[in-house]
Amino acid sequence: MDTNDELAEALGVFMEEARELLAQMEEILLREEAGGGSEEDLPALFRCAHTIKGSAGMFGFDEVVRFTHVVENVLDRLRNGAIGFSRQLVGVLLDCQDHIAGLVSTIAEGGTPDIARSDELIAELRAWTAADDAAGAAAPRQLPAESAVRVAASGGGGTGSDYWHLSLRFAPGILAEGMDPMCFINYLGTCGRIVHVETITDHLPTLDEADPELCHIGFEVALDSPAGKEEIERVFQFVAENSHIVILPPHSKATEFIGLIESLDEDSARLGEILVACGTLTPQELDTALRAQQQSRQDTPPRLGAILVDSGMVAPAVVGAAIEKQQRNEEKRRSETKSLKVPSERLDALIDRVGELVIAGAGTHAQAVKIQRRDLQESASLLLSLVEDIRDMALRLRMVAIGEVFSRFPRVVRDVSRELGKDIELRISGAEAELDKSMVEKVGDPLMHLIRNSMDHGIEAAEVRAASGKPVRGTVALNACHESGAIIIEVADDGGGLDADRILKKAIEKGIVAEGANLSTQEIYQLILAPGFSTAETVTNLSGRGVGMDVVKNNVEALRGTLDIDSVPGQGTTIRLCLPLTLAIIDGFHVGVGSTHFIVPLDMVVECVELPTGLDHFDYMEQRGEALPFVRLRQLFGEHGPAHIRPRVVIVRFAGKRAGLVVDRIYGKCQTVIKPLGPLFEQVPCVSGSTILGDGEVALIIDVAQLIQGVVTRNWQATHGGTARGATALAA
Amino acid sequence: MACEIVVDAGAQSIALRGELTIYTVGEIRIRLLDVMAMTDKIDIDLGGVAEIDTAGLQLMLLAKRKPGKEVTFTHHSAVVLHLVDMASVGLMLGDPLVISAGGMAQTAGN
Amino acid sequence: MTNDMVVRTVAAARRGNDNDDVSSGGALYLAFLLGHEAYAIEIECIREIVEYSEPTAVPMMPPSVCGVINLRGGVVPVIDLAVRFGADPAAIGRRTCFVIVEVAHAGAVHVLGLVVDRVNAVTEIRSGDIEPPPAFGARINTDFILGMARSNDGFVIILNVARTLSMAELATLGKAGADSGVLLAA
Repeated sequence: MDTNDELAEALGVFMEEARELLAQMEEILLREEAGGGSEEDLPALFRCAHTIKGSAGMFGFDEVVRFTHVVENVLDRLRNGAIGFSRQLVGVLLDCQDHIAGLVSTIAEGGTPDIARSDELIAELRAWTAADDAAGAAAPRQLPAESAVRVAASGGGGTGSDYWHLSLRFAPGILAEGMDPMCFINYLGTCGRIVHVETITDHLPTLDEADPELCHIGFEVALDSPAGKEEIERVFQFVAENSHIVILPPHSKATEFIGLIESLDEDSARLGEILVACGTLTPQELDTALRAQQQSRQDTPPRLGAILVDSGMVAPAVVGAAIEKQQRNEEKRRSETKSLKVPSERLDALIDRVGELVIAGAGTHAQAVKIQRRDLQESASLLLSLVEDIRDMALRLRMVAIGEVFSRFPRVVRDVSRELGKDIELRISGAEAELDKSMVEKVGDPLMHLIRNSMDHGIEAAEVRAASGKPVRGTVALNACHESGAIIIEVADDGGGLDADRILKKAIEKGIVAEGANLSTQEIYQLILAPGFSTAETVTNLSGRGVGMDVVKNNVEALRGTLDIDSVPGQGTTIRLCLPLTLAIIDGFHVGVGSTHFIVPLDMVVECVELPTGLDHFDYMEQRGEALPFVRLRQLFGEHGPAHIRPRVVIVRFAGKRAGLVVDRIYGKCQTVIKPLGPLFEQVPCVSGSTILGDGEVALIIDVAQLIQGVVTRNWQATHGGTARGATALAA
Repeated sequence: MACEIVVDAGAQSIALRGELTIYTVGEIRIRLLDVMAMTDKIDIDLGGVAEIDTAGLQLMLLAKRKPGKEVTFTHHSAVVLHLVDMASVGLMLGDPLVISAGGMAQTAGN
Repeated sequence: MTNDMVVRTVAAARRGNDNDDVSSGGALYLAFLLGHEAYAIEIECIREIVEYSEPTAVPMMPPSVCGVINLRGGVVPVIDLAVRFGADPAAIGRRTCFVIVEVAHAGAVHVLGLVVDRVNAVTEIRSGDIEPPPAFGARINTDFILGMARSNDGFVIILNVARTLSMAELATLGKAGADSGVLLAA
């Protein structure tokens, strides 16, 4: 890979990271605005800005660095409690967050950043940064850490701690030498009172790799003792030379703690927390010390080899070292993050291979059974079950929570409600429902349309709501759940509901339906999905000119989903999207017709019965007193293979409708990996995909939703042709 | 004094009796890995542990952190409780312990 | 030449092509038989040759689409070239096999299987030896033909793979099949 590629890849990672961080900032800001912020929010907010600035610096995105630096300062003051949140500040910060996002994408695409906008926002932020300049005079960034700390510690230069602090990192071989670190700590108790012991496990290897006879753990001890330093040091006099023992007396200077942090292997932020946990430092002292570090770090040009711009700002050596170390640690942490980004094609390739492995494993098992070797059989089935586990895990790798899409809507709702001058609250539930990554990418736009539409057309103006006795604040609820192998996403508003008469009138005006058409309420509601339909009296820039809903419908249908509208006049409208999970592992029900294998999604299967005899010329049967329409898959799919004299009926249900599928053979449940059939088969109805069975045979997955719809259509037509029974049963 | 490692038939639990120290951790680790290869959930009964040191404590932490395995320590003996308490790793280990009136942690439900 | 040997030659030829250009403006082609006619496809678009196995029929597809097969965990559509060319479906014999090809469509590469009666050999054909398709007299639609080349025993028809296996067109055939499908008539 050449340098350009590497750079492009690094840039991609940066963009992705920046997007995530900005999304996180937005989430926190919105939470603060709603008054639901938590203690961790402010430091997290600061870290987001700080990280973006740092990474932008590495790419030389100077404008991002310049602007984010100002934002970061404000966030820092928020974090320290120097200033508090106000509605106004949140608004400005959200604008800043948008601007950073804009800057990042503009610059990454090689455009010219909007410096004027930066300056505008910086000027707005001045209200919150100005106090700093006034009060702190030159408190500023150039001051070496030590003096900054001294100021913070309000004279004396010492921390408030009354305890000795001992930092113990023993040589790995200490255990084998017959010494027990916990014994030392126990013995320390003879010099005074052990206030707290913090066990440091950061360097603990895994059980598989560990040599349990080496010491991998360290300790931070706070000791309340009148003893002198010599006495305490004596406890450790026999400890091997390459152990790292630091003993700090009470009221040590903050810089000595910084020195201690620096001398240790662990991440400094974490060490700081440990010092606080030990009671050695107060959170205030830690914060001041770390801030001193960071302040100087901000002024250290992030690019390697770059020259200090301002010759006046050279931090003292100790702080410089601490900064360097912190950077190292942060880089390390980045490479060790809990999530890993992997191109989805690689996952797919993995899943395909593992699928093959399952089949190969099943083959091996079958061979072992054939030759009647029990031991071989057992090991083959163990192997098979392990491989199946791996396949399940691999498949789950592609699944992501729908919350990934939902997370962008709080901001949308906030902004749009302001634009509309309505007070609207967004309620989200079911964000943890999972669906395939590819699906997640595609449902965002339709949902965005629906939510905007609900806010614009659904929720009434405040006066109207008040007049009808509703709370002034409108609600849009976004809910997701799994149902019958699909994901259902609902967008519900508590607005005025759909006005069927008005819709019909409009549709007739627009020539969408003929005058005098006799439509059910449901059918009238569906009209809002027709191209060129818009019910809003005034066209706003939000919902556009009626392009929204039909686009939504097309998008949803392109995903092989359905869209239902439910509305209660005066109470609200609910739009329900039902989408397949696509590449999911579904539990399938394996049936055979002729020589072809089919899979019916198991959660749509109600039961299986034998096809009653004498129904050769009927397409419905009697079941528990009701007429059940059925479809002969043999006929439907033009199968000619060997038939069964007593065919079975698999009764399926979807969206409250039931139908039977007549098949020749029933094989039972099986786990099914959906494999898309590709563009060639896009138009094939009633088949939603394919899968590979345990023996390597390809089976087609039946699209029950489409099939039921087909049966309904057929019966509807049949009704008009005279056979009414099947259709009435479905309509009921 | 050595350590007796009793693995139950279903390989779901292990009981340690005797020393959990630098002298026994090597052997215990190997037996533990063997058992872990067969099952994902293991209860380790520490009721018979008469002696424990830093190496033993470290092994507890190592076992607990083995990815994909759910290790639960039960029936902590007094010496184990003392060390866990002193090193403040109770939370880190996350096993149910009850702080008795005397301030000493005890295994819950036993 | 047995199928096995051809398979190996295909692999070797593909490797060779990656490294150096074949001399004198020639390119390598896989020659195969369909009925009594000899055809050739540029080796570039051939991925491999696999043994014949009964494909799983996909309902409501035109007869030229035999169905799908499992190719190492992937589901691959199979086309009966004979039907595509307007002849009767290929009769399955001992040497029937699938030629797996790669076709670009809508920005992605798709994999298709072709049923052929037997594969003959990998041959080098110089561009100078390729004649334009005949205006008439060919048994198949001349749109599908890139050119004709003389071989030891008569002419070889060099196929225009992009046209012959146009995904867009095959999918439309599928749609036609689906629209006239038996669903509503059932």
